[in-house]
Amino acid sequence: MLQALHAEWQKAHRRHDLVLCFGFAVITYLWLGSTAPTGADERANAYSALFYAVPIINTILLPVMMAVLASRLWDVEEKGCTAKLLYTLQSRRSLFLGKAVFGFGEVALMVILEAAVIVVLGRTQGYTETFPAGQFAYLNTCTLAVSTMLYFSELLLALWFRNPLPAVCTGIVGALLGLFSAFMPPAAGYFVPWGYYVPLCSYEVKVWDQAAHTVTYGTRPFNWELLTFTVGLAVFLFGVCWRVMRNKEV
Amino acid sequence: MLKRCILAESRKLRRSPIWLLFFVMPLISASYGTFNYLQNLEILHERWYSLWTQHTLFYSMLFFPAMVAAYAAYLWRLEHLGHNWNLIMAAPVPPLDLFFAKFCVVCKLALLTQVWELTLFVACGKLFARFGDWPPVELVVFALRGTLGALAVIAAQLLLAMVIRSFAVPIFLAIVGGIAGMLLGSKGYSLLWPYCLMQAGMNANRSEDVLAGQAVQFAAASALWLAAMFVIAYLLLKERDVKA
Repeated sequence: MLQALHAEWQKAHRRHDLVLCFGFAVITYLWLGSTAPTGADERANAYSALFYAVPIINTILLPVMMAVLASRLWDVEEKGCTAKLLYTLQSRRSLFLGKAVFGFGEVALMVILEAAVIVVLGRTQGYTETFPAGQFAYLNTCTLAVSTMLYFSELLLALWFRNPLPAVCTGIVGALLGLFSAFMPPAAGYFVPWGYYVPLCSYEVKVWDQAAHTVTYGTRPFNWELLTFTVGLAVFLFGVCWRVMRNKEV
Repeated sequence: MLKRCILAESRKLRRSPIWLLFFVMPLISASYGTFNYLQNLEILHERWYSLWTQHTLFYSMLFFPAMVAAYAAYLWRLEHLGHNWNLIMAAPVPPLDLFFAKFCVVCKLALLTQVWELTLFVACGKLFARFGDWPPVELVVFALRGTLGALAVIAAQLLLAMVIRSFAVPIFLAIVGGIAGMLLGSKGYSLLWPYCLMQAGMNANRSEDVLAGQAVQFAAASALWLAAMFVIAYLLLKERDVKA
């Protein structure tokens, strides 16, 4: 297992996956930083605004990012026609676990980097609102759960089709659907897994004063049911991926 | 030779799954735009213009660059597979012709995408928003202007897809480019970044014309970015050789 993981690490060197993960953090920082709070009243509400905005940005970026990571992880074998060779050199189980664990590690790295971006923004932009540690932990748990679920769904597509196009196109269409579901009635969001970041978000717009251009955010209870369903879906997709790889003809 | 290259590139798109993306993306964008417009009639009073902003906001900022990137990456992926790169480097074809042929084919696809988007816009306006009149000609001009601005995005994506051998990475970079364009555009630097040009040309999410009195600068910026991409592509293709 460790050998398989090491092999995936070596393959990732040439793919520059880490650059992509850091690139995601940079673009998130720039995007969130561009809407920096200006007045004292905005700074007093800034973490709420940030925690409300992060899931929307995740809905746009992460489905595509997951598709990129998952499709590249398998495409390297397709391009090199190495599947037949690998299946004779190592067990399918170790190959799959190597890819699954490595992919999960990349997803976790991105979530950690995004969490760091939130902390850094709070420090550099002088937020005066008390740091909501519980909400922060919940947000990152949700991001990790949804991203992992999407990652395995994209890996499944990459395994099914010999071409990365379906996985990446599903990521793009999913991002679009997820973004739109965020602005539709709440029930619609439950039918769009790519946009689960938003219904899992525990912040909502409480008051929007159109004349004064001010927004006040409030919190709602954590959505444990949807989070449990998301984790269950991720486990199910993990199982289906393993089944597909185990039965794959080479 | 260029004509043959264009025909060869066009042939690669036959029965390609890329057509599914071509149909689905603008359809989702139009559905959402219309839904959002109908939900916010109390604050959106400018009829066709308001519907236009709802249709084109996310489409021009994020999803059109991603679609173009998918078109470009799909065409270059074939050259990156197996020994095809050596084959095209050894073919008796000027290297820039290859790039230009792919550019023409992606332009054709982008133009068709714009026409499809415009058709959906008019259909949604007539069927769902129930506008009795036809959309102002100005909106067609916006769409054409957006297509002109999109040429630089197409060239940039072809360049990225040529240099990066991965199919997926240039598509992610297109979305990053679109986001950077959105941020720069909001600060008024629309002409300084190729991914802004399409957004500015389409006049997405603005009731007043963002390019009023700047038509010449816009055309010059589009031409400049396009030329820059072609020069870089030429230099890279000139330097690159077969990989034995």
